[in-house]
Amino acid sequence: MTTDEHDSRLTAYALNDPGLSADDRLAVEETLRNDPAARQELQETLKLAQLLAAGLAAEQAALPAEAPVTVPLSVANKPRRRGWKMYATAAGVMIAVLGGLYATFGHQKVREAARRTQAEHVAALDMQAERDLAGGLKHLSSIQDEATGRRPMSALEPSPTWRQAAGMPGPEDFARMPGGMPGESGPASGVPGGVPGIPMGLAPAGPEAKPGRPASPAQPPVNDLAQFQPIPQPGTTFEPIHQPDAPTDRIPNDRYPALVENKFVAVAGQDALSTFGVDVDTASYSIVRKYLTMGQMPPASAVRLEELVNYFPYQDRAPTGDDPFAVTVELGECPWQPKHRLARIGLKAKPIATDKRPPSNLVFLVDVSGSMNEPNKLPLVKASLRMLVNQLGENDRVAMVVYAGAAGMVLDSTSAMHKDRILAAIDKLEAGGSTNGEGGLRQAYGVAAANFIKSGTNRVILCTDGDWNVGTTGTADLVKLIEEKRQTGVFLSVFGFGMGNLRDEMMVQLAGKGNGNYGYIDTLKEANKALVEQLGGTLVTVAKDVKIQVEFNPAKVGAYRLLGYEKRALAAKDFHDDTKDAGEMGAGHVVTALYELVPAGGVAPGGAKPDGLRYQSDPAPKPAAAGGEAAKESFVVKMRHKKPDRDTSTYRELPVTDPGRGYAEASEDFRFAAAVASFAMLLRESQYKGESSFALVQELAESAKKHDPSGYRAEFLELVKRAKAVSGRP
Amino acid sequence: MPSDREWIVAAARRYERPLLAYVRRMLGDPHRGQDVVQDAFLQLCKQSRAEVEPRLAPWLFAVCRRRVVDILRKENRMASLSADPPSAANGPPEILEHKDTTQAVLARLARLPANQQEAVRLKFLQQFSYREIAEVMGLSESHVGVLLHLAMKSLRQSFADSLKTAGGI
Repeated sequence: MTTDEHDSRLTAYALNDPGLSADDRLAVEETLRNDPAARQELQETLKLAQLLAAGLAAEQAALPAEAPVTVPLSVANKPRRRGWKMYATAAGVMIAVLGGLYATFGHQKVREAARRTQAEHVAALDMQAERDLAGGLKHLSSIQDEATGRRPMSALEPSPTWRQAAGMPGPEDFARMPGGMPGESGPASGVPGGVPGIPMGLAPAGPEAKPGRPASPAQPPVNDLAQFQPIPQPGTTFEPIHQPDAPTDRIPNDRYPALVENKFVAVAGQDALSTFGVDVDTASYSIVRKYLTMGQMPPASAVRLEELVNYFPYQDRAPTGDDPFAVTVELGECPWQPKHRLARIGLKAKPIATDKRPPSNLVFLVDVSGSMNEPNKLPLVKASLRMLVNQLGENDRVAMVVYAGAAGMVLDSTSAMHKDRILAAIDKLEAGGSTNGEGGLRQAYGVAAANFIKSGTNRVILCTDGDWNVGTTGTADLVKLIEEKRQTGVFLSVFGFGMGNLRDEMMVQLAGKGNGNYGYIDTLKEANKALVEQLGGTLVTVAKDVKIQVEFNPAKVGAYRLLGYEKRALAAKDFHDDTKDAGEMGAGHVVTALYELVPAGGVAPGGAKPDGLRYQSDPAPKPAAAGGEAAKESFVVKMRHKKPDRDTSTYRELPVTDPGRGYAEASEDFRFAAAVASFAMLLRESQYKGESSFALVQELAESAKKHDPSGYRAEFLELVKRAKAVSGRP
Repeated sequence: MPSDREWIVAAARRYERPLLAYVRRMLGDPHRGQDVVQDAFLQLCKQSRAEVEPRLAPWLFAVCRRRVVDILRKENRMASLSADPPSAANGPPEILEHKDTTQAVLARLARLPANQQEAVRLKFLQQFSYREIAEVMGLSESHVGVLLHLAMKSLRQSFADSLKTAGGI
């Protein structure tokens, strides 16, 4: 962390900005613990904030009053301006009167309030200075809200009675407005699960802090601050403590979408069907690695189990003939729950030799906004793109669009025969300015469409930290735009860079809707994996809308749980609906899905029972209706996919019988996938982790690392050790 | 839920003055800006409530800002929005003339680059988050972070003494 970066985070911390990420917060707190100068700076910034809030409020209140705004009588769903004729004089007069009242009465209140809060605040600071040698961290809780001017609502705002008398909206009306009232904080401000006036993501530290969930979800996080020990006691170690449901996961500005794990589902009726779309994203693994490398446990919601499992190459056989992918299913003992069975379903897409790749029309869309100006962002983007360009040949074309304050074309579509021109354009990229992601995206799609190669690869490759300001259009519009463009055959790949501003949720959505993949690139090695080793997979889609539906046999399986793929869940009926979008598979991609199965008659953790049905009295497993061979099957895997240029899907299925093997006899891939899944559940503090421990993960992975062409499995083992050390758990 | 018109009336009551203050400061004229604010509310009438409501305040400020930028551009006055400090000679003597530290801080604030001032005002007057300020000013969130940091740093340094001694203000 450079000094300036650190400083500006400290300022954001002092101003208590909800956009400050959990890891930045932790980093600042670490600094505050160790650095008296930083604590001094925090104190000064807090005081200054108070002065500014009070001073500016008084200044604004002193402005001359003016004729108030008038509002047309009819406003709902009138797309065209009807003009000033619509104004009702009566209403205008009423508003004018109210405005005037506010102008006169309101000002006094504000001035008075400004004086009062200022005085109170200074007094509070005095006492703290005496009491707290550590520089006031303990007391942050008491002054934080006032420092940002959010708390002293009673002082700054007219009383509710006055509000009623003047016909002003009550507090509940303000509560629905963004940020609430200027001096308002707390749950009523309409920020779900988070209190804007209070820093989030503080890990309780010190001897009395308990690992795991916060003491009581009903308690405001301010209590965590009170527990905060700025000076470590001898013999106390500061352990990053993992909070699966920490409030950080829920603030709206946060980067990681909240994730609720799949539950066990009893095999009965329609619930015997489990349906999901495949997913080849791997970003979550890189993100987890980044956190652990920094010595922190990742936030639970950043851990997407399937993305961890799918990060690794497996040895599943490749398809033969025309099939775009082959399916392998293996059933064995569940390592973390010996009474349960674990099913591994592996899909392997047809690999493609580099020289057999169809011609490609690529448009690099590079975020060059100011936020990209960090060593692990734009410079890494440039290095990654250089790597990619070096893989391209005479059949490939590259164009480049950048976006910052304004979107702009920096390289017309150029044949990769002229690599030097492309590389020169990449070298010239510089960060600076604000972000107009939407404009850039439109332009990139325009360029891709203009150079469209029929029966080739047409793809926009977006490189960003996701910190974009979409102007007046929201994420929903952007997603709609991408969905539209997908129909034209131009697909989207998203590569996320850097940690400070990463908007994970948006990237997941954009790539998902754009028939694309989402990778997170934190190192050159990762760039090599995504853009060189797996170039085929990144560029060439061999099957789209790949859906999997597993039907369990109630005679064999009592309940099941799909591990991961929460974001790809589909309704059973969507399986046969070809208009429903699902995941894509690129050349050579491997997709692994794991199911934990409770044998028929067993008890599922969390009590998976069909919801109490009034009219179906017998939810107990019945023998499978099918006789003969089918009765022995545990489940059948049904799959649908479309060829990349088709709109109708192809169906196939694969019945599976349990050979009754223990996990030691299972394949290496089975054990390795189980190890990664177990690891993910430990990181998430999953209630389904059973007997998982880092030791078990190590044992499983150690026994399964013979096939490790690029050393990813060895790296995984290092990461497990790291997690073990960081978490301090076995 | 109040009807849409009630909603807009409530929004006008709530934000009219802050918007007016913001616009006037940007225009550098205490007597103009009423029309800009009026126009913003007319635009609001044409928006889908569901879309705007979750980010009403930054939306209103952003709309006003765009209008002001247009006006200034027409008048070739964009310089007043640029990052350059209005005057390079920020001497401390003038600060000492103020009896009140708050007044002195405001005076010092007025000498910061325009974009820093703007970010500071949006932060402390409107209590906007960095993200909201970014939306209003058309910058990235991290850029806003830098602006606010620089502003706070300059101010802290100018008033190091009064801020350090807890009772000095």
